[in-house]
Amino acid sequence: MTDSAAVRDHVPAIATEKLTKRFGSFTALDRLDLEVRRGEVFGYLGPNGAGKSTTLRLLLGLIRPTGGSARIFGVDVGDVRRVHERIAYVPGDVALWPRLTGGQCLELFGRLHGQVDADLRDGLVERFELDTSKRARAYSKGNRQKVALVAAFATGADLILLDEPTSGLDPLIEAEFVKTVREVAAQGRTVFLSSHILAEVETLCERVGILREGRLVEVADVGKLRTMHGTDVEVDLDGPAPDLSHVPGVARVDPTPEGVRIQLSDEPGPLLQALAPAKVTALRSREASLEEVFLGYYSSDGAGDKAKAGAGARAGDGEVGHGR
Amino acid sequence: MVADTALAPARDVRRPLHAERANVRLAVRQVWFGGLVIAASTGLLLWMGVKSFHKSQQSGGGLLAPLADNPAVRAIYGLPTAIDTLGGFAVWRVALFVTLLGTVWVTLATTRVLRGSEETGRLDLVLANPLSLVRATFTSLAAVFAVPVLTVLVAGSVLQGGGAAAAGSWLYAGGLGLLVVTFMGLAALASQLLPERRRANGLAMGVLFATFVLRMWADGGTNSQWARWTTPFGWLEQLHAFGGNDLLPLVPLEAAPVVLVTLALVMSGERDTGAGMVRAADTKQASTRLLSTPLAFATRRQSGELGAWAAAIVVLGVLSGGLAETLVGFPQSQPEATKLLQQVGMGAAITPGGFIAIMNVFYVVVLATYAIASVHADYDDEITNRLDLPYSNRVSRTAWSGSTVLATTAVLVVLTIVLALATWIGSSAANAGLSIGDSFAAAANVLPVPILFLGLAVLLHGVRPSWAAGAVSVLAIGLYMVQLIGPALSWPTWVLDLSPYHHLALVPAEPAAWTALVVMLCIAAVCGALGLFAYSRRDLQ
Repeated sequence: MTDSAAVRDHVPAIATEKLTKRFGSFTALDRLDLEVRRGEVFGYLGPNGAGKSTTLRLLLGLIRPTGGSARIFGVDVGDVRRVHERIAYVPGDVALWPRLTGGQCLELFGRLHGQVDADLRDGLVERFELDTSKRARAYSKGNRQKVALVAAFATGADLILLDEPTSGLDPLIEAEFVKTVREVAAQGRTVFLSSHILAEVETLCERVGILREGRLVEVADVGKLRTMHGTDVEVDLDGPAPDLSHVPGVARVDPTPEGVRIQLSDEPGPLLQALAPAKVTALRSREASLEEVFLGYYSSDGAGDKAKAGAGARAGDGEVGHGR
Repeated sequence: MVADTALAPARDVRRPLHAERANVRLAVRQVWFGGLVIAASTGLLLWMGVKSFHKSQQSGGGLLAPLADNPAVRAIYGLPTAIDTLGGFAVWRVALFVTLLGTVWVTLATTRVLRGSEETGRLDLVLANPLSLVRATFTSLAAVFAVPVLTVLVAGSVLQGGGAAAAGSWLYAGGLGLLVVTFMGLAALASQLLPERRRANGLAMGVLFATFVLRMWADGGTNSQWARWTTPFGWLEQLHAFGGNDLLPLVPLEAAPVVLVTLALVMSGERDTGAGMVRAADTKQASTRLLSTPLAFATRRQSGELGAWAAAIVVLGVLSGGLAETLVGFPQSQPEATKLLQQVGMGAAITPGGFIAIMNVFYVVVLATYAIASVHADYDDEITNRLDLPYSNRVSRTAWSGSTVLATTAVLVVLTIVLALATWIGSSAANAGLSIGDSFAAAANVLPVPILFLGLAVLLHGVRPSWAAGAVSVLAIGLYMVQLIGPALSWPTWVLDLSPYHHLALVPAEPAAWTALVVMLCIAAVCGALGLFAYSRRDLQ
């Protein structure tokens, strides 16, 4: 992990201020205030149609904001010539000119970027097992993605924007991707990863922003998100369960054959005190998986919002439950 | 948590032919607008032909026959049959345009419906239904087929309604429809052979061009009438509609489409979806030339097709050069002759220079088509998201699009030079006495018009990109028609002035109209600049 104190003194890699995009009467992005610090690996999540790709396209200058602004390394994203020197992009669905070979595509993108370290690029081609002699039209979706990935990582850019970069890759290559992102992060470069693959986000990202219906509903450290949204505590009891429904932090109590299962959305202290008089034979706690956390945000009945409201007062404190 | 609604089991809906019908509807949606435009244009052109009959009768009825029989006029306009009758004259006057319009459109539409949806992968979704590739191809073609059918109805009605003989009207209309269907079959076959739509278009258009030139040669040459039987355009002429009304040419006209479509369907059953019958190499030695900057890349993309366009221009240039002096002998002493020539838009053709000038005006349409296609290629790249990656680099909109414009302009200049050279070669071979200076002057004189259309296309590309290709094509062709037919129908001057073709002086027969040329270039520059500016401001689609 990077040294957060030093990072905070720098200009953020990405900073949006009330960034808004409307397509006709449809608001795709509603006053987005997002900040991605230099050197961090930031995850960007949200259900389909939430506005993640719109955000990326706005950052890249492919579309213009209806309102608000966005800056990359302090420069307005409209200033393409300055900004794009320092960024690289991997689109969600890579489209290439069918008759160019993979190698020619890499040459083209490399030259368009400026200068590219040929050794680094060749190393990446090998790492991702890309056959550069084939024409683009002969590539599967995954191979096209590899072309874009190699092109992006070969630039050595300070900020890499990734839109579902591994959706077509096999697990072995995905592992190489994870390895590459870690190397990039270790070099102090910034990675902005928009993805649906929660395991990947969990592995790679330090902070995560969750977008829903054009609004940022949550931005938090990955670890904190998990603890904010609950721990499942299973308690095996010898005897009747005490009344736990009024214990602060307890979101839900369900009976099990052995005892009770409690969904805890806060510190376990009060629960442990409530359990002290009972005869507890076993206690197992499991943090909510990130998947459950995210699904809570994804679902439109606002389950995520409810959980967040419950933990609102606790934001900023140390870790809860057993450590990661 | 996600609401727990179990999926209801799918109802067993088994309607026969539902997949076929849906595919027909899909293809109809792709072609109906263009098809309507083509059918309407055909009707409009024939109507104009009918209307101009009376004027021609007034001007110099007796001289019409020798004019029409002039080799150059035959080469361009086609075989005149019974041009002393309303019907015969009307179709003779516009045959060139209605045949080209219909056949070119059907070629482009067919490759789009067949190979186009296959290339983009849309066809995969369609074929996931209970629909084989053979049936999908067949049903798509059935949808396209509706357009020639409609054209037949329109053409026959306009002719007969305009006063032409019924038998000839419907024979010609039917023949025209069959001609269009023949090229539909050809395009369908090309779509099976080649894996990319652009290549399929290239092949089909190449064959169309070749058969058209064959017809020109057959009609223009002295002992080459037999060659009419080698080309579908010739078969239409051999019907002798309004004259002998021969039915024999209907045999090849009906057999060819059947054979071509059957072959196409058989091939579609034999091959893999997404591939062509011709397996093009999927790997190649990497040549990294022209991949370094947007301008270099734009040049690279243009150069792929430059050869084919240049070849076509060479053929056209040599042809017009070779025919340049054939109208020189036409009786000039009678004022009616000049008037008549003007009626058919060939007033200046009595000198070789004038003839070249007139032909060059027509070739403007070819050059404009190239320019429009070039801008359209950029639009195609945009909507397929190919431009996302280049634009994520330090490439400004103006740099990328401007490179396309620059490269296209350069190619237009090259093609103009090629035209000039080819014309001179052709005229020298026929001893027409056209100097190379005249030849270059004639070609250079028309260059501002395709540049003007390029500017218009760039403007629309920046403002309403989805309209750019269609709207400017309609303008390029339509305004040419205005210039061609308008004077004969005595349209008001302000209408004629809308057409850039009207402002072209017939160089070298006349001195160049410098003002008009400069104005056109200025308009092109302004439109282009506005278009690039708008493009740099708008969202990518």
